[in-house]
Amino acid sequence: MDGPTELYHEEIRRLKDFRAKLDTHAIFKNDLDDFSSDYEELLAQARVITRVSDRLQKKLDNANVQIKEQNDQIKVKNVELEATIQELAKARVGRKASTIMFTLAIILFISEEYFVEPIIETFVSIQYLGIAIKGALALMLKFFEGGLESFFLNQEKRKILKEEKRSLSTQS
Amino acid sequence: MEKFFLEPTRVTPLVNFDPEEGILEVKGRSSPENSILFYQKIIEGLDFVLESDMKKFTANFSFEYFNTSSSKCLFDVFKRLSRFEDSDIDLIINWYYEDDDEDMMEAGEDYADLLDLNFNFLEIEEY
Repeated sequence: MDGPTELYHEEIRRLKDFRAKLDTHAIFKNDLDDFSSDYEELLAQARVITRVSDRLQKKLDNANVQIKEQNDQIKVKNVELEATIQELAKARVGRKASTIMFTLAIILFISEEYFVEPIIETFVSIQYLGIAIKGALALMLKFFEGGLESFFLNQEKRKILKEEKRSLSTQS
Repeated sequence: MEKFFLEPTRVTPLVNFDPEEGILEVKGRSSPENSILFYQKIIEGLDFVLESDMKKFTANFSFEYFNTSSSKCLFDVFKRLSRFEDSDIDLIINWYYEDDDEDMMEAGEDYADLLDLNFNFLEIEEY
């Protein structure tokens, strides 16, 4: 498409026309009148465009401030949400993990008593080895408890987030 | 000249120009990469209307935001519209702005003052 390709093309054209006249030395009062009118109009344009631009820049700045404030609020809400999810998940998995740990502890201690103790008594004559094994089992269970809890916690958090997403999508 | 309709994008406004019905509607955000190119078609359309025997022309502007080069192009559009007032065309310019958007309303006032045009300032709830 043919047409102007730059801003102020009309004003640039008039300036070129005036300069061409200047080169010929054939300048009349009318030409100077026209040129001063063009200049006056250009100044008025510049004034209004600068004013409008400043207003909209202010609007943009206000919008940016608003976005920043909203982002800060979202960050705070995210931290709160994370803490709530953590507490909720902890409450939900706490009992589950305790039950599993308790059952596992009973199974391990009974197994130790019934299967390992007779072997120790028969083949090894080290005093308190049975107690040491039981202690080691207790320590191992303690580590296992931490791992189990964090596994269930992550699982529960994912579940809570999924439920939250589902309820949000049904609302919208 | 045929009427034309441009869908709005993230950086260009909706344009609905029907030279035969005498309606121009520009609505949305304006910060095109090449403002001159974008507004040239509107200016050509207005030139066409000016040369026709149209009796009434309505221009509706509803901006959320426009950049500096668009403000120059809008000045050129309003300058064309100001020529309508010198002809027999009955010109109506509606300048819509969001109810709490004083900056946009005042931007319209600036154009109206500079070019001595009558704008109808109309509040809208939302773009």
